[in-house]
This record gives sequence, C-alpha cells and structure tokens, in this order.
Amino acid sequence: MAEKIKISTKKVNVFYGDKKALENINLEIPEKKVTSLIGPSGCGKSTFIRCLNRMNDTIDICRIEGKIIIDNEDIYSKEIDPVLLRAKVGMVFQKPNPFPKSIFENVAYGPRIHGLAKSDDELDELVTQSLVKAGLFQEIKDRIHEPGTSLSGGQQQRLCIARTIAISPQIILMDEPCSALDPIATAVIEELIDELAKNFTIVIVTHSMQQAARVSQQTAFFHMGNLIEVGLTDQIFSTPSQKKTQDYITGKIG
Amino acid sequence: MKEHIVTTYDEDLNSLKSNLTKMGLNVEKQIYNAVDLTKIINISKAKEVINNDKEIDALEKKIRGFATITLSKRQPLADDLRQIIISLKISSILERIGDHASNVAGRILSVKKAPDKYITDSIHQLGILVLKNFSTALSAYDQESKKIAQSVPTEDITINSVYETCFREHLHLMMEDRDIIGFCTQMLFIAKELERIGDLSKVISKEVIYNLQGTLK
Repeated sequence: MAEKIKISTKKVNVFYGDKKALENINLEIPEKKVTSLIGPSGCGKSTFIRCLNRMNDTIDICRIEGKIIIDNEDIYSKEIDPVLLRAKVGMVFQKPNPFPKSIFENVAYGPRIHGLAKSDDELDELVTQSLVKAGLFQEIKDRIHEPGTSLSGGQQQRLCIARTIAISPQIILMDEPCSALDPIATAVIEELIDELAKNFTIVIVTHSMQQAARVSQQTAFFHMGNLIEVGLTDQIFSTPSQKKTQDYITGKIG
Repeated sequence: MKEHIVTTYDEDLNSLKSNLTKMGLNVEKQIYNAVDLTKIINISKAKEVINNDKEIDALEKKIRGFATITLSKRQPLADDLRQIIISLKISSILERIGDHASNVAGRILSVKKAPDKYITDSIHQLGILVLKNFSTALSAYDQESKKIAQSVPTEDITINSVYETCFREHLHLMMEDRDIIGFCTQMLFIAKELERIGDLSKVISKEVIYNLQGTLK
C-alpha cells in the first residue's frame, strides 16, 4: 500500500507466563484507514490490539518481545509514558463502559486530566464538538447533565467514542465495539467509523465478517497466535490467498 | 471440499447446484431436439420444444428465488459467494439459450417442409457441434473443472468458422436456385440461433473459470 504507515509491528511475540499468545507478528497499519482484525476466539487479535496502547502492561504475567513502532517511536521503549501513549491511542471496548457520571463529565474527564482546555467555555466547546463528532449530540443535547448510564446501549457506545476522541487521539482501537448492540445501533456506529477514518487511524477487532468487509480497507486474519494473512479487505473477502482464511470466512470446519 | 459447520448451508448450496444442473440438462434436451429438427422436420416435435421452454423459464425463477434467499440468509463470502453469483448468471444464460432453441423450433414451424432440392445438412452439422460444446460447458460446471471449461472457447472458434461456411454455402444455394430462397433464409436464421448458443456456452465456461480461480481474467 502506498499510504503512510502509522503503526508497524516487527517480530512481535507475546507470552502469558509460559504460554505464547502471539508469534512473530509483522503488521503495518496505514494512517487514516480502517484496519480490521478477524479470527476465531483465542486467536490473539484482542491481545494484539491491547499491545498497541500497552493495555497489557497491567497484566503481570504478560511479556512482550519485538517492536511496535508508532510514528517512528518504539512504544515499549523506556522514554515512553504509557499515560501519554494512551492519550494518543484511544480505545473503545466491547461493552460500553461510561463512567458513573453525567454525559458531560464523561467526555470532559479526559481533557481535564490532560489539561486540554484553558477555560470552562473551551471545555464546553470541546465536549460539544466531541459529541457532535461521535454523532450523539443531536440526540442528547437537552440532557447533557443526565447520567451517561441513562443512555441506550448504542448511545452509550457513542458516548465512549466521544470520550475517546475528546482527547484528540491519533489512533482509535475498537475491540468488538458493536457486539453488544442491535443492528440499527451497529449501523450508526459503522457510519461513524467511516466518518472518523477521515481524521483517525482505526484498528477494529470484529467477529462479524460482514462488518469487517463493510468498514475496513485492510483486513488481517489471525489464527492460533499467528498472522495468517493480511491484505486489502476487498481481496481478503473475495479471493483470500490462504486456505485457512478461506475456511474461516466461509464458516468451514478448520 | 471442506464442509460448512452449518450443515444446512451445505444443503442450500448443493440444492442450488442440483437445480442449476437440472435446468442445464433440460436446456441440453431442448438443444438436442432443436438440432434434430434441422435434419428431420417434425411439426409436433417443434411444438413440443416451444412448449417446454416454459419449464426452463420456471426453473430460472426458482433458482433466482433460492439464490436470493441464500444470499440474505447466509451472507456468503469468497468461493461460496461466487458460487451463488454464477448460479444467478448461468441460470439467466441458460434461459436465453432455451429461447434460442425455442426460436429454432419456431422457424421450423414456419417453413413446415424442406424443398426436395435442398440437400445440404451443413446446418445440422453446425448444430451437432453447438450441442456438443454446450454439453462440455455444462460438464465443466457440474465437475467444477477448469480444464474442461478452457476447452469450450477453443471449440467455439471452430463453430464460428463452420457458421461462416454455412452462410456462404447458403448464399450460393440461393443464387443458384431462387425457388429455395425463402427456405434458405429461414435456415440461415436457424444457423444464427445455433451460433448464438455457441457464444453463450462460451460465457458459461468463463463463469465456471471465474468461480474456480476467483478473478474475471
């Protein structure tokens, strides 16, 4: 691909204790594109996505080898502050997890701790803009001080996206963001992903092949800790080059 | 071939294939009878061919409905998706071939009887080649064989040159004897119908190759 590479992993191995969860992962993720990671449960795709913002640091037995380069910097080098890294690489999880605070506070939290707004007016504006970008503002503008948990599941997930983009990350990681949502809420999120890809690099883990086919430009297929195949999404879902990929996406016994 | 985890998915795809093969065999029989009519004119047989075309049209509708349901139900990808796409395309090609066979029978009905002076059987020979190449294309689909499919376009080149020969031969016949101009004109229309079946057999073989290799090259 001719695009600029935002994230590049080199010979990445991940262990949980003695167990190897990922083996020799070399993957390049282009900037301002959507890359989807697919594969059966336990194949290592979630482990992989969590390496990209060092979420695995919190797991004692987790050990990572190899290099993960974002913008020419190895994110596992000593000079990197994981907190700043996570501001740059935001994450949205499977189940929406708003803080037990108001909608406004959910979004304002990140900018506050990172000191991104100089005044209350500026913070207001930042929160509003984030909610607008997450496609939620119109629906909730009259109840912005109500609890985030009072929203529907799909709205909560968009609130989490608003919270993520409020701190102006460059990369958004999404770990099955629609698996707890109904088809309509899913469609709204997918539409949002399209929109967000104009400004952010997005990496999404999904169990829905059709979703991967719809939202992403690049797809990587993981199987038992290995990266089996990576390519343009259109090619992976029409003419995969590996038998394992073909069997997985068409639902055959592997 | 590996099986799907969901067995009813395999059953759906198999059923789609068997319906398409059934349609193909029906069309093959129609071509066989149409080609036969070019040798021995038989009014009741011609009517039968025209009548049987309805069955083929009905099968096309059935395959189309079934393929649509399978698409929405299974949301297929890769080779499964291609198999359904080619079922839709091939069934529509078969339907058109059926029309051409029926058109041959229609021409036969309008000529009723061959003039005694008309002694060539070149159009019948053309028909035999066309029928054989259609059968080859159908086997390529049934056996999912790229090798068999690849032989179809080659054979179609021969068919086209035989068609050209028929055309020139009939021009001569008409120049020599104006009494048979009417009949020869109808026979040339029949030759054109057969030649079209040849072209469409080639299209079927290309769909089979597309299904197997995944690209339209």
